[in-house]
Formats: sequence, C-alpha cells, structure tokens
Amino acid sequence: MSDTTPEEHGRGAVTRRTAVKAGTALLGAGAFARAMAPLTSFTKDITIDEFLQKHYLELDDAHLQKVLRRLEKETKDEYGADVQISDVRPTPGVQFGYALNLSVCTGCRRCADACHHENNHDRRTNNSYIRVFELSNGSLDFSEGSVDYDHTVPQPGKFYMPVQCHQCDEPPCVDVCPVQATWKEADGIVVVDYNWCIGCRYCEAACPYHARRFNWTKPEIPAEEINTEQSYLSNRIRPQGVVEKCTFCLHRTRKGRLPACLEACPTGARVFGNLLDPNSEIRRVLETKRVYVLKEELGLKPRFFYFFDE
Amino acid sequence: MSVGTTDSGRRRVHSGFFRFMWDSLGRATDGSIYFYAWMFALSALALVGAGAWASQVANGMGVTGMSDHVSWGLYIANFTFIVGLAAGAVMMVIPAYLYHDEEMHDVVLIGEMLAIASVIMCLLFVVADLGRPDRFWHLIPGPGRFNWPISMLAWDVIVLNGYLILNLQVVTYLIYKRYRGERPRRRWYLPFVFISIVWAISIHTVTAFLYSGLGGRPFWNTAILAPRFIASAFVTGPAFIIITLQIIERLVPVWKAHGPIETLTKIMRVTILLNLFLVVAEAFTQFYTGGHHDDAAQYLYFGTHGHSALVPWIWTALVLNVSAAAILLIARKDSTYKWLNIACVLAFVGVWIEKGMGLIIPGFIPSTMHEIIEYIPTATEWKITVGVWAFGLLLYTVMVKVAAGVFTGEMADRRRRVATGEATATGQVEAPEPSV
Amino acid sequence: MISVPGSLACTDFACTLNRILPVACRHRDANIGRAPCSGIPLLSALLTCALLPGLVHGCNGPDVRTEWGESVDEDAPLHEVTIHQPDSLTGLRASTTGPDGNPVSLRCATCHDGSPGADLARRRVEGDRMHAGLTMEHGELQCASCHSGDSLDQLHLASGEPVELVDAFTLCAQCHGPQTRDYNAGSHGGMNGYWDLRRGPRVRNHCIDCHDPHQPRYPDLVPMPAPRDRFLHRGRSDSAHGTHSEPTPSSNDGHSTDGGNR
Repeated sequence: MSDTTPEEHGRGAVTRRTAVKAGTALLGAGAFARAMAPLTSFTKDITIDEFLQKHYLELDDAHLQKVLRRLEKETKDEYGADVQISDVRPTPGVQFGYALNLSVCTGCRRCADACHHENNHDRRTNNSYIRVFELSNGSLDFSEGSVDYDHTVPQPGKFYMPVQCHQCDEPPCVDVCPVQATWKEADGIVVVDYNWCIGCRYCEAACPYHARRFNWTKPEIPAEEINTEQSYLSNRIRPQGVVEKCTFCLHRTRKGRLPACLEACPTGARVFGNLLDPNSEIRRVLETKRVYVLKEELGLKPRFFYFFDE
Repeated sequence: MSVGTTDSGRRRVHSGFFRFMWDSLGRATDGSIYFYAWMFALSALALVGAGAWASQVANGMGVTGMSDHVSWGLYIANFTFIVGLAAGAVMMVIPAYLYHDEEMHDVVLIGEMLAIASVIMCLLFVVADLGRPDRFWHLIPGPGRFNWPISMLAWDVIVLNGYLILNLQVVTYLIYKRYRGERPRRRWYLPFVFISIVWAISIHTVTAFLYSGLGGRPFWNTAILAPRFIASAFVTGPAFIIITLQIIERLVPVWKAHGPIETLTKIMRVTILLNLFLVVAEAFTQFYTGGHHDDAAQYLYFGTHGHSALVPWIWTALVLNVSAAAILLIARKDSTYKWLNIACVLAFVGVWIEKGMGLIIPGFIPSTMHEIIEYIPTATEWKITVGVWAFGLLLYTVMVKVAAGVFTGEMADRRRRVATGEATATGQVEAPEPSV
Repeated sequence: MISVPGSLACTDFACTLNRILPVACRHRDANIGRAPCSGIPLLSALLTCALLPGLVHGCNGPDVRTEWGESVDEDAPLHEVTIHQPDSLTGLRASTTGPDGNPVSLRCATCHDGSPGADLARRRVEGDRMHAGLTMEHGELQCASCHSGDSLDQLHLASGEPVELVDAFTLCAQCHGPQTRDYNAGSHGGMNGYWDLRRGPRVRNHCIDCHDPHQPRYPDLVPMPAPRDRFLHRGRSDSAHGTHSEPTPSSNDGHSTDGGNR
C-alpha cells in the first residue's frame, strides 16, 4: 500500500535502499493478499453470470428464463431443494389493497408464521414480514406496546395490530434507493430485485413501518421445509447482503389466490382484494367501515388499511 | 491517479507527468526512521481493517452490531463525520481566495489534500457499509441504474466524486506546475477552487438531506440538520488543519503556519459557538415540545425504558465541545498553541461523537415502530473503522510529503525548463516560497 | 385514491436536465480541444463527460420487462364460494375415543329421543358426565332456544321455523346481524382459496369453525413465536420492549459464520 514499487533513485543504480523498498513492497502485497483471503470464499460463490446479471426490468424473456434456471440450480446446490422459480407479472385491471380488522384480530401471530413458511424466511431468526403489536385499549401508542409477547391472547384490555409492508403509493423506500433495485409495480406492489440490491439499507432507514429486512447472513432453511413454489420477485430464497420485503405474496395473488397471511388468519381479520373491483370485499370495507391508515400524516398513501367494527 | 491520454502534440506533458508520478512515488517511500515507523504502523492498521472487511463480506453483515432496527452504525457515523472534515477543509480556501489572504495561499493545499483524503475515506466507509460490495457497479451511471435525481444517496455519490475530482485537479495541477518549475495558469485552477468552495457546502448539505428527508424518523427530520452539519464541519476541518500545520512546520519548515493558524482559530471561535447554539436549539425544540417527537433525544441524552447506551457518549461530546469553546474564548494569549491544540483535539473528538454516535444512531432508536433495540459496534466494525482512518492518514501523509518535497525544491523535474511564454500568468500564482 | 405508479419514470425535472446536460458536456469538450498544457484538466473533463451521459442513460433504463402480464377474461364464469362444513355440525364430541383414537362424535338424538328425563329445559350441563366438554356460555340461551324439543338434530329459529344442523348459519344470523352482514361482505370469518373468483374457487369458514355455539367466545390462543430481530431473545415477554443481547467481540469477531448473535 505505501511501500509499493522500487524506485530508481536518481543515481541510476539499484541501491540497497531500493532493494529494501522492493522487499517491503513484496511483503506488503503479501500481507494484503493474506488479509483479503476470506474474499475468495465469497467470490467463488458468485458466477460471472450472476455478477454481470442485468436489472430485472432490463431482462428480456429469454434472458430471464436463463436467470430463473440458474437460480433454481443454485438453490439445488446450496439448499438441496428442487424448486420452481417463476416470473409472474401483474394482472391488468388489478390494483391490490389490504385491510385488517382490529376489532377481531387476536394477536395469535398465525399470519406471521404463515409468512415465515410461505416466503422461505431464515429459520434461525424466525423472520417474518409481519410484526404483531400488542397495544392497550384506548391507545395507539407503540412505545407502550409489545411485539414479543408470548402469553395467551387476547389479553384483557389489549388489542393487536399486525404491521407489514403498506405498499405505499408514494414509497419513500423506492425514492431513496440509489440503484433502482426496488420499485413499485403496476399493480401497486413494491418489489426488490434481490440480484440488483447493493445492500446499503437506505430503504430500511426510510421506511416508517419497519417493513424491510436485511439478510445479515445467508438464510438457513432445511431442504424439506422450503416452499418450492417460488417467484423471482417474491419468495425465492434471498442472497446474503440484500434487502427483502413483503410482496403481498405476489406469486400467489397475481394468480388470483389469497395471500398466505390471510389464509392463515383464524379470525378473518384480513381482507384482501382488487381495489378496482367495486364489488370486491376490500372495496366494501373501505366504503362502509371506519378505516384508519397508520401514520397517514406522512402522506405515503399506503394500500394497507386498518378498520374497526362498530 | 493515472496519466490521462493527451493529444500527440503534448507528449512532453505526458512524460513530464509520468516523471512527476514516479518521483512522487520515490518521495513517498523515502524518509527517516520515524517516517517509516509511522507509515508501517498505518499500513499495518489498514491491513487489519482490510482483513476485517474481507471477512465481513464473506460472512455477511451479521458480524456487525447492526440490526434491522439500527441498520446503520459506526460506518455511516464515520462517513457523516468525515464528509464534514472534507467540507471543513475548504475553510482554508475561503480566506485565501475570497479575501485574498496571501499567507493562506500555499497552505490551502494542505486543506485540499485533506479534502481528497477525506473523500476517499468517505467512499471507503460507504463500501464498508454495503452488503453487496461486489455490486458496486450498479452505482455507476451507464452500466448500472442510477436513481438520480430522486435518491439523495445518488446525489451524494455525484457530489462526493465531483468534489474528489475538483480537489485532485487543483492539488495535482498546482504541485505539478511547481514541480516543473512553471507558473500555474489561473484558469486551470482558480475556477476549480471557487467551484470547490461552493461544492464543499453541497457535499455536506446533500449528506444532511440524506437523513433530514426521511419523514419517518423525526430525530433527523429537521431543517436544522444541514446547518448543523455545516457548522460542525467548520469546526473539525480547521481543528484538524491547525494541528497538522504545526506538525508539518516542525517536520518540513517550508510553510509559515502562524498566520493561517491565527485565521483558522478566529474561524473556529465562531463556528464552535454556532455549532453549540444549533445543538441547543435542536434540543430545546425536542424537549420543550415533548411527545413522541423527543423519544430519540430522550434516549440519547437521558436513556429511556431502561436503555441508555448512548448517554455517556453524548454527554462526553457535550463536555468536550463546551470545554473547547471555553478554551478558545479564554486562552487568547497562547503563543505556544498549547491551549489551542487541546481545544482542537477536544472539539475534534467532541464533534466526532456528536455527529456520529450522537446523530446517526439515535435516529434509529427507538425504531419507527417505537421498539428499542440498542446498538453496540463489534470488534469487526472497530477494526474496519480504524483501518479506513489509517488508510486515510496514510494517503494524507503521502500527499503532504510530496507537496512539501516539491515546495522545498527537493523534488523537482530533472528536465525542468523555465516557464516560457506564459504571459497570462499574474502575481496571483504562488511565488516560490523560500524555506524558513 | 389509487394513483398510477410511476416511480421509475423520470420526473420533468430530470428530463429537463437530461436535455441540458449533453449540451453542457459538448461545450466542455470544445474547451478540451484547446487544452494548453496539462493532462489533468483533460482527465477530469473526460471523467465528467463520461459521467453525464451515464446519468442520462441511468435515468432512462431500457426496460424490456412488460409492465402487465396476461389479462383475465372479464366475463369468465365465476368459481364457487363454498362454506366449510365442520364435523361438529353433526353431533357432540364425546369424552370417549373410538378405535381410531379420535373422539367419538355422538348424534344428540341418540339420547335426546323425546323420552322423559331428556328434556331440554335445563340451563346447565356442566359436570354432566354425558356432556363432558360441553360448556354452556351463550348469553341467556337455553338448550331449547335453538334445539328442537323433538329431535336435537333439528334446530329451529326464534319463529319456530325448523333449520337443519348444516344450516346453523341462519340460526346464528338471527341474533348476530352485524357479524352476518360483515361475513357476507367478506370481512368477517376466514377464507381460503382465490380472491379472484374468475380464476378459482373459495372456501369460507363456517361460524362454528371458530365459535363453539354453546360457548361462542373466541378461545384464547397461545401465539406463535414472535419473529426475532438479530438481537431479540426467543419468547421474551416480561418487558414492553425488545432487548438487546450485547454482542461480545469474541463471538462477533468476523469469523462467526453462524451470525453468532442469538
């Protein structure tokens, strides 16, 4: 670094000092190589195709198919599971919306658990895109709330508020991303290209709902627990060092199915559907219920709503 | 930096610049036993940092103390501080060029070289913070997808690299010209100097906007952030340079440090008070308003819900900053600079804490959903941080050494030719300064 | 309420800049042609010029991925919505288990066959050996409020109109109006299957999937374990806040491949 190459010191001859400099330079280079040695294990996992892979939006179909096959192979090699990774595009005429009935949610975390399994989350951290807050009746003060309760629910005097990505129409996380690795899709879902994200975590800082997660280490999932129905933009196993987030289970919902968290909800607190369909359940909630938007004052126009029964 | 291609008619420039780089390399690797010891120590620390970084990349950011709740830590804290150092370095430039303070002219280089070293450190800290440094090229406009002008981080990448180029231009040009024994031509450095003055403000403003634009984080979401950053930058920049100038004067008596130090001290007396005023203004707004807007400030200054990891940090910073301000105001007859140096060190460390651990970390505590997860940097983070600082100091040492060599005349183009036909050159250029 | 997402589109501001910047770049280029004696300005100018078109390009990435996928036929026939029919609709779960290890389900009419002594005037059934597991906590209701006196497998509305066990839904609906309204609107009671009935069927839960008709209060549940942040202990509940297990330098010292922080 400092003592690099030898120098012809104006006298034309190779002096002893020059020789010492050269030796030190060699030593320094060796020490540097030694210090950087751990990188070899990292770089050998990255193929040249992966390194040079283009942004998702710039991949044509043929390219994307190659990428999907490569990712399937990588999953097989690294996790030992045969998975199918597809690419599902938004359905014309569909704008997704989600509402949650705070009057009936009991805080059982079945939704968080379903998300954990559906989306192939890291098993060690029990990661999930959903966090359920236990709040006291009469207050929406999160600072007095609890997210890691483990007593039976519901507790008297408490109510429960699951929080996940609100798929804002004005998403600050998308604005701040320096490389456009995250964007809002045509049906309203904010997605991340896990192979484009550089892992700066600015989006985590920008999100007011704590909806984003970073892969601090490589996710660990036993092969037999892996959900093999995967898609590129949602629940495929994420690489180390990138940010991930809730996608309203787009691999299910874009095919018309309900999101995993909704199916798991035993109380029916969750309502999902197409905002453009005047007869949809979600529209009826928005039109007939007292709907509340978390942190509405931030003006982010979420597509996630809370409501109360009368 | 490498030699750019020039048109064929300028081959003499080409070879001249190559000789300059070669001589610089020799100069940078020659010195006393103390110099070698210093460089060896810095290299060793930088290597430790490099090793820690390599293992962080391989094993994942899980080796840091950061979490989804506190997603930025020591790296971004240092990044923020050093952007200030880079911006503050132009404090040397303003009096020299805007107020025609002739004595400041030569030592301006000291500040601009500090700016270069600082920006490089900033970029290294950003790289250290990336989860996927292998994908850095996604940030390069063209092959990557640069989210400009929407993302403030994209702006930051532009302004920091722009600032680096500006200062490299001015510093390399002036030193190279002196090396060649030619008179620098104003139009090849003066416009860049003026741009860099404005640009210096921009780098720290953009860095402040990075945080203050986040509506979900009330602790940062304040218009006073950019002014605070600028004010504190104009404390640390001069503080660092005041001490550096004395060291350089002792080692290579080529520049007169007294005049510039007086000027910089005058600047610091104002900026350190301004910085404290802004800190107080912010704290007042937070605490007097109360409510949940002051949760982060509450945590920072007094602790909350039994968590108080940052309390000792911030009070240390406040004590240091107030003491430094008091010393600067009281010890005015300080011919040996003993008190001034103490004040500079106190202010430097004080602002480092206040802008790093005291500003970046509490932005995340409590989290946006009011959870409290504390942050304690791990050994890996400290190693990388120390490594980057060591590398920055190493770069700075090399640059100062080369510049000093050129200005003392010890390092000069062997095929030096007398400047010819440079009628446009005026007295504004640096006259060769005899050694003191 | 729904704005068309366009986050990747350039703003007017950016596009204006895009038009201006190449011009500025050419202008600087012209200056470089006259560069008198130094390679350094040339270098920085080259870098700048390399950067600016890149910015322009970076903002208008050549996206080829389609914005929308295939559409679904507006007039496609809708799939069915069925209501799940739980076992408990057909009888009472007894305390004894059958040969398959599962509790035996008894039809009410097995005992309540209209004979004396098996009348439905009783208010309480707790402690009754025959009704182990059956608790009656449903307002002021008595057995006969819903069950028909003649055959317990037969229900009746308040009007006396008979209702089959599998149609218990209607019986609940006569008192629980708002819940029925919400259920019918899809915002009460869980479901499985498709939100888009053009593409697949849906199964709705029955009232008694979640509510025991004799004790309809939703039961307390043990929650699933909370997702943990890197530093959250498993199952910690006594504090209102998550706690931070301080990472020790030794366990975090760059070599732990398992994250080391749990």
